[in-house]
Amino acid sequence: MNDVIGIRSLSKSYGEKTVFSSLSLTIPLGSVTCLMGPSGCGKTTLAFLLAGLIAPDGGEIVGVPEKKAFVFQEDRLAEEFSALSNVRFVLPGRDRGRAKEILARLGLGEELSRPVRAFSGGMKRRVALVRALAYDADVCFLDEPFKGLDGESREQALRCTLEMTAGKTVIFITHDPEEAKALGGRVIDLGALTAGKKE
Amino acid sequence: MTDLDVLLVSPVRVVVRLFSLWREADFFSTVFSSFSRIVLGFLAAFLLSGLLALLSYRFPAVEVLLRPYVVTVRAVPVASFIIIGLIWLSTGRLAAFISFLMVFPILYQNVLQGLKSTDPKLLEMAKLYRVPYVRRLHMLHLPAIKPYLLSACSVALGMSWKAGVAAEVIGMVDGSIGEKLYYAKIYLDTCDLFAWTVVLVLASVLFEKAFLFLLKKLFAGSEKL
Repeated sequence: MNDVIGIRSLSKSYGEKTVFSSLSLTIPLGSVTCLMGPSGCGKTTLAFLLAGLIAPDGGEIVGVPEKKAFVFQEDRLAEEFSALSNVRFVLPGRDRGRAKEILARLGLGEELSRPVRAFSGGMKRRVALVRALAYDADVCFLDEPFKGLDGESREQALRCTLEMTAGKTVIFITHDPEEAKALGGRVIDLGALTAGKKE
Repeated sequence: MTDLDVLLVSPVRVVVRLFSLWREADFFSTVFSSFSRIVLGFLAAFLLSGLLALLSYRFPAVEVLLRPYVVTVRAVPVASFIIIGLIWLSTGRLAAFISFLMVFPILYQNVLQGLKSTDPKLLEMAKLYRVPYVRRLHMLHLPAIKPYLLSACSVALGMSWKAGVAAEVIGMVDGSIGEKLYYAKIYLDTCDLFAWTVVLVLASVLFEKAFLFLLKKLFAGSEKL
């Protein structure tokens, strides 16, 4: 079994805009990798390619574990349903206990049955994070998961993320060097990596 | 009866006739007879349109196959279908058939439109997490269908009554509201015509309110699961 995710000669364009041209790198499995870089440098695109949500124009990606979780930039929640239902939605057997436990850890224990459409932006963000953490995936993609959280919630979410993803592969996208430092692991400056490689 | 009574009857006389109408021996059986046929047609269309819209959403070939039928039913006048129904079916089944036929395309197209309006980003998320189809249907598709289905039902319920009773009038269905309207026409009994029309409108509105209330309750209940 591979112990890395291999990215070889990857290219991806959106119309005229080239995001990657012959990008090659490896991402170690079982640890945190932070993708950093300026807006538009392709962090989210790389995460989407790794998760298999979009196809590359060229090159290949190998060694990505099958069971994936993703905190998208948008929360992508079923707004009519409760926080508990949204988390249970992705869990095998709709495991109520696990969903409740992790929601409570992120300070949402009192808000289990309220529809998420009534939640603030920060609360929705935490539900999206709990959904990914509760899923127990082999690889977890976190695209700015703490965006919109206040200081205390952010600390709580960071602690919980670190605990629950220990020993797992985490692809963490952030603009904040402090967050990257707190999560540890390898930091890839995608902006620097792709500079000069775009046609 | 004066000539004026034939042309336009006073509201007071209609109300008086309504009070005498419901005391007649066959009033409830007449209303129930029309109600059961029309509601049967509507419910059959409701269930089948949901099922076929789901199949069309999953398999675009089904949508292509159903398109000529949907376009035809929407374009052809209801009277033509009633005549065809009279040739094909017994008069007892006519109202249910016409009610079904008129309502099905409205419900089918709206449910399909609702399914297609499901947020693709939510579907992408569900696919990534490998969420079973039934769960996706419940939490992603059902909320998307809801506004389309409620508005389609509101239109279709009224239409099922109009088309169903028109079929009863043309087909002279025994013991139906349509038959009563037909006799009112034959005997130039405008008072009876107005009174039965009021009964018809009341039955239609009450059923519409009750059905939409239950449907909203069902949606609300499903959101709590």
